[in-house]
Amino acid sequence: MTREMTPMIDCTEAKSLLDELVDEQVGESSGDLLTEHDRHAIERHLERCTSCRTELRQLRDLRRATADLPEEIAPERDLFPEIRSRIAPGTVVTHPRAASHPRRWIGLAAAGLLAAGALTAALLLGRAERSPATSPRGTGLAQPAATLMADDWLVAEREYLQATDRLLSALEARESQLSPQTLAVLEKNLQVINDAIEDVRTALESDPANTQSSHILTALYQQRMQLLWTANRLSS
Amino acid sequence: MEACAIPRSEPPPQPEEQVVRARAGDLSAFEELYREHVDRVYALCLRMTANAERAEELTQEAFVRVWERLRTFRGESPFGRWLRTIAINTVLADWRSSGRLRALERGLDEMPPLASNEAASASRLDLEAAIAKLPAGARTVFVLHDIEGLRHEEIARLVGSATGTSKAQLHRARRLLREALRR
Ligand SMILES: [Zn+2]
Repeated sequence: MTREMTPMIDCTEAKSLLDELVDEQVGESSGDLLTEHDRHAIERHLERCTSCRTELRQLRDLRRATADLPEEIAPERDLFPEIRSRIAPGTVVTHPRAASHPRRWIGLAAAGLLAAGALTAALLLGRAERSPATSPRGTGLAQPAATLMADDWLVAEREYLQATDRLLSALEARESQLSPQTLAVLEKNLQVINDAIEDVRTALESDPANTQSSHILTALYQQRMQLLWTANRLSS
Repeated sequence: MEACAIPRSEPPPQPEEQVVRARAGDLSAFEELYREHVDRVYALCLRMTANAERAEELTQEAFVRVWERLRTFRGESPFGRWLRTIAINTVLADWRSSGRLRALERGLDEMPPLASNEAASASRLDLEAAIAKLPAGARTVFVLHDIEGLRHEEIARLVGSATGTSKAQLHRARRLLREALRR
């Protein structure tokens, strides 16, 4: 009975229905793509046709592979600064390099600058506190050492930060040549160093004359420069 | 029985907080929306164009249009879907202006895709590379139907073609992809 109601279809006809069949089976479109009549016809054809069965299997595999593709792909550069300049032309971008890679680098650069500002203030404050009239320890001897330390630091730190800045700029220009994995490792390490700089800076703030802290800070600045220098070499 | 009532009793969806703020002109809220959605939009543009540079430009264009049209967004559909439709239209409008869409509408898209090797090198998967190498019309329909989950009727409406054209393009895309992946 059903045999007369669903006449045999040939491969050409069958293949034209396979797309919809696989969409019903695998896709999100739930079951109303084929008419009852077509569904019966294709199912009967598939029972006896190896070629169409193979094609259906391939289509199913393709559909599943497609479903596994990532929904998201990150662009290789930050696209927002240009969008912002188009929708809000008056917006002032304070850090020139923030325009190219704010997400990745501005935080790192800012961390250094922030630490520098606070440290400088702490050192100046420390020096003032150790002026002969208000020397907290009342020992005339500690004061010249602290002053010397502070002066050295102001110069040394400015140099470190300028050098770091240059390395960051160079790295930004070549960023695209580094693999995402390398960039991730770099960012993580920079973050660790920046955090450490923050900590030591806090320690120095409460005790600017602490030579141990200032040595550690020097080492950290050097470590950061070394890391950036290595990254620059990798990308050049 | 009682369980059936749950979907109906939910309040109508409200636009998310950043959307409301961005609609009022808050640029930082808009940036948050951008960060949240850019990878999805870029994936769509990259797959439709098979050209990383073009995809970047079109992603930017799409977000500029979103900003300009935020006032018209009432939250009837999820923000992401609204944004995605704007992105699709942005890519299609670009093709329209360059005459590529007319070829797409007619289904005569034998022209080679733009710089397909760019997208291929960016992707790790053979499938992505094979999609990038599809002719533009077949690729568009494949991306919209099989990746983005649009129905043929929606694609036909967006592209301005017949539903049958969309189906034929999908059939062709899948055949070419099966052949490419068998190799
Ligand atoms: Zn057959």
